[in-house]
Amino acid sequence: MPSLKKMAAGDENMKEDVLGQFEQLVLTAVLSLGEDAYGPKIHEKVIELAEREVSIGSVYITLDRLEDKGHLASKPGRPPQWGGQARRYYRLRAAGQRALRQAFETSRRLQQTAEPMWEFKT
Amino acid sequence: MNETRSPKPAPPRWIEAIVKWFMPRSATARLEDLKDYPLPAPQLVWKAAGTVSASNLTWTRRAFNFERVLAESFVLSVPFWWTPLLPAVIAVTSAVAVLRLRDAFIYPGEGTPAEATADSLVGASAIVASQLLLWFVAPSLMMEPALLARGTVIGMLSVSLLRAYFHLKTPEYDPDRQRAAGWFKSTWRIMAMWLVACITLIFSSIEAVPGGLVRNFLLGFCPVMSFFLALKLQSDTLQGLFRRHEPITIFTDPVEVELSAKKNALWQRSDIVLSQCFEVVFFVVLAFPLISAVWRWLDGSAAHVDWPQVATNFAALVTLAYLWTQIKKLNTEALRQIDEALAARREEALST
Repeated sequence: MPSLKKMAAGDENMKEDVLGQFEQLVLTAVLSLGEDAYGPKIHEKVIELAEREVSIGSVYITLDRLEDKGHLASKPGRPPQWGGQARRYYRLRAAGQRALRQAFETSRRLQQTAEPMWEFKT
Repeated sequence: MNETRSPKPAPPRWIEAIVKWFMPRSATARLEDLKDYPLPAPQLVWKAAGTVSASNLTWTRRAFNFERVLAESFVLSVPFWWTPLLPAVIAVTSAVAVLRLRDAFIYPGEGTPAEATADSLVGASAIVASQLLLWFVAPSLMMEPALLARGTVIGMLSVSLLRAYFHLKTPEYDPDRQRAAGWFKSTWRIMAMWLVACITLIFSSIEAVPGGLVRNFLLGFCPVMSFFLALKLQSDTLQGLFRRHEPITIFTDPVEVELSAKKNALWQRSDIVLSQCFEVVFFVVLAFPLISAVWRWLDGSAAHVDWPQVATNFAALVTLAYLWTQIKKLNTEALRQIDEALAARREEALST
């Protein structure tokens, strides 16, 4: 029987805080950019970290999903002096930092387990 | 977060106009992001398409409201009741689907007459477009023009009224509040289903073990009363169970008030003796007809007892008692989620 907790958490926003690889990339990009984390900069950083081409659409979708989960917060910056709209700047929230740290710890454990095997095989 | 960058060449005006036209209102700031890509027009169009589709997908998901979809489908289908089924289904489905995109576009919506008029025009256009498509693909499925015109006009007028009301109630985007409210809603939905099962069980037990009118009335009435008394007494407050309308001053955060009220309507603690008593009373009342059946059997007066039904109801009672322990755990989890949302709000308020 599925647990009632899982039934209640049917909504995407309410699922447990396990990050996917792309989510980790986006959160790391936001973290590394600090105060200057907005759409195109995050996109550029994600491409640099992933070492492959990534579409801007997938970055925006992930940013929105992470905001829904409460890992990221966004707010508009100042409007540019020469006119136009204010950009949205993103920053990591405490929940995002926790989730990212947890993901890194899992990766580290995996690495520690797998590395001796690689050495043995080669 | 200051804008210190130098002015960059703006994207061609036609791209800007198209993006503005298709971009949801809440995501128009992304138009500014596109100015960071000094690309030739065809590549910029590609980037703009990615941005627009991602934003529409997000806001369609954020603005989606199942109750609203049901209400709109019902209201829109009424004028098509006496038309052939398949064309009516196609017309209603296309209007409801396009209105989801419209919801994403105007989220959270203002509920103004102008917005309601635009809603009805968008919906009507979707119905007409679906019929035009049918005219090309399967002309036999097209609706009669007179029926189509009548249905579209009446349907869209009622839908625009309904949407004007719904949009007045659409809250601003607030992920913390929505996540906490989602847990509260799901928990209460499960509790309500469980309560309905308990009430069904008690009525079934009353039939299985016949008794006097007064006994039957008390057995039907007491479980619900004792459940809500147990719930109310453990919330440790004199407010109503679902009280939301507190006086709001400039020092109060209305979302915090709302979430605290939600906490009071959940099963919070189990160390209040009176609440525990009513919880026990609830299960005793639920089991009473079954206990009385056993008593009658021992007494030798169990001629009218429906024993297979009593056995089934006993199994159901054990299952419901087990489910109640799980529901209490679910309430604890929902409370944790609400507390986390409140803590995140406070942390956010301090950081800004």
